[in-house]
Amino acid sequence: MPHGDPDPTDPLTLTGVEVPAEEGDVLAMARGFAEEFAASGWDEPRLLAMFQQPFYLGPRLAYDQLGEARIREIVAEAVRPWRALREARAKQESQRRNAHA
Amino acid sequence: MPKVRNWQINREMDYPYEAAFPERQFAFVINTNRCIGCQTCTMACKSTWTFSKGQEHMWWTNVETKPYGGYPAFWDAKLLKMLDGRNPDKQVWEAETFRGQTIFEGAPPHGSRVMGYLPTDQDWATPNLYEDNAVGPKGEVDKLHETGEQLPVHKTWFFYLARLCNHCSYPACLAACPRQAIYKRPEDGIVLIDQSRCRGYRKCVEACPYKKSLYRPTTRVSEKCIACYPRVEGKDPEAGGQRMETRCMAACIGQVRMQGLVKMTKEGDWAEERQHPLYYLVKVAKVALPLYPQFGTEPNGYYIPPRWVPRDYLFQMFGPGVEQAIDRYTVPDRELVAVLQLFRRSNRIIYRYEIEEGPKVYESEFHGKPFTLYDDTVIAFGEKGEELFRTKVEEPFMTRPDKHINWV
Repeated sequence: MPHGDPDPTDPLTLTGVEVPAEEGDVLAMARGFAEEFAASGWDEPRLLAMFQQPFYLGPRLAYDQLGEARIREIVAEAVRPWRALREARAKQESQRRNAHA
Repeated sequence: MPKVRNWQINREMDYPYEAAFPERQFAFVINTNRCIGCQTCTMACKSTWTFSKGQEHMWWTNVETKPYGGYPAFWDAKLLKMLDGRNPDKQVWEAETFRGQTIFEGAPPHGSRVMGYLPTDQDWATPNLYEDNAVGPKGEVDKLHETGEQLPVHKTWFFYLARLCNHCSYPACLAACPRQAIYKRPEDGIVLIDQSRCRGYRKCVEACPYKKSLYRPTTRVSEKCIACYPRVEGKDPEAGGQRMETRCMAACIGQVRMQGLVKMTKEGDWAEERQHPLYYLVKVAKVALPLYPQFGTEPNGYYIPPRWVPRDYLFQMFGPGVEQAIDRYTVPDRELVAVLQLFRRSNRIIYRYEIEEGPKVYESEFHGKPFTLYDDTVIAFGEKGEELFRTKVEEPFMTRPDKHINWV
């Protein structure tokens, strides 16, 4: 873990390397985070908290650049199929219980 | 030099030995979209195989933060540059075929058998250089900024690339060894260094394009990932005779890795096993791609590419299948949703899966494409056809209670 400023005499210090980045990369990254974690069972509040948390650098970067409203939309879209799945299961379970009652 | 067929670059290529293929091949898929760079795999390997004197710099498996990170430093950028220098502007793909030179074809005519380089001690010294890591107050060790505002911020994209020996079908380490101390096991394709034959010339270290062969100064011979072969053979005390995945695979808390043994044809391609999860991911869905296939070693590690990274970078890293792989992964079909749930539900090697179809629960558009979700169950089977586990398409989610928050 670095504790000081970069040492310009250190041959391993990164200097002047540029990588290509396109507009929309942050959006794609934010969607990636939201959809991967939604598929892992995370719900909306938990996902939103991840984007707001400053220690999660990538999600927070997206949150700062895209704004909370856009992040909320992304999160809502990501959880929609999985919420539908949970609702369908709950309905099925309730029907099963009613049938046994 | 003999000609061999390399299906990943879709052509024949030069290789110092005649082609020979194992019955089954050790192979793995890593989903970079889900890797959180926790280094649990790295430490699982380290604590199992490379904890001894002389192995301090050895990380048979590691996770590097791309695009800047690399162990050894800039391993891939250096080799790509060397190849381009040897064959300027001709290192190109023509549709599915790589028209440039592989590391075997780019080797100098009267020198080494393989184009490569020997990393310096300094290159090996910093496995986590440029890793996304937290920074604390200046001069204070083991302290973090409480609000995080001083953390380094990546202004653009990055992703974690987990790497280990690819147990290549045409290993560069094996090709380069003047002692013929490196061999590929006929039963599972695992590439090993015979420690008694090795004299430590480091030709394998120089030749391996992925830099996964390493020299040990205390024994003066080279070492590399052994694919946890006692586990793969089912000889681990915990295995009970069943074949188990490697330590780095089994330890993955992000559930991004799956390893198995795929059946090979006599011609060196994967034999059709439609219900094998690795066969499905690599050959049917084609969402998992080899790492730098243009190097020509036919690596057996495959990656689901990160969907947010610029495509030209990914094209260079994973070849021409990138666009299609990301499209299919981003809006997965019914089978892919189910197969992705097979990752890390068990530490046993999966040989086959079946899907038990459930009702349709969702139908809409996702990223502008039709997407349907079914409440399916996927069942995994082992080598002898025994059921290993079954799981739903939705991942079970558990929250550790406050009382046991750090309980292990």
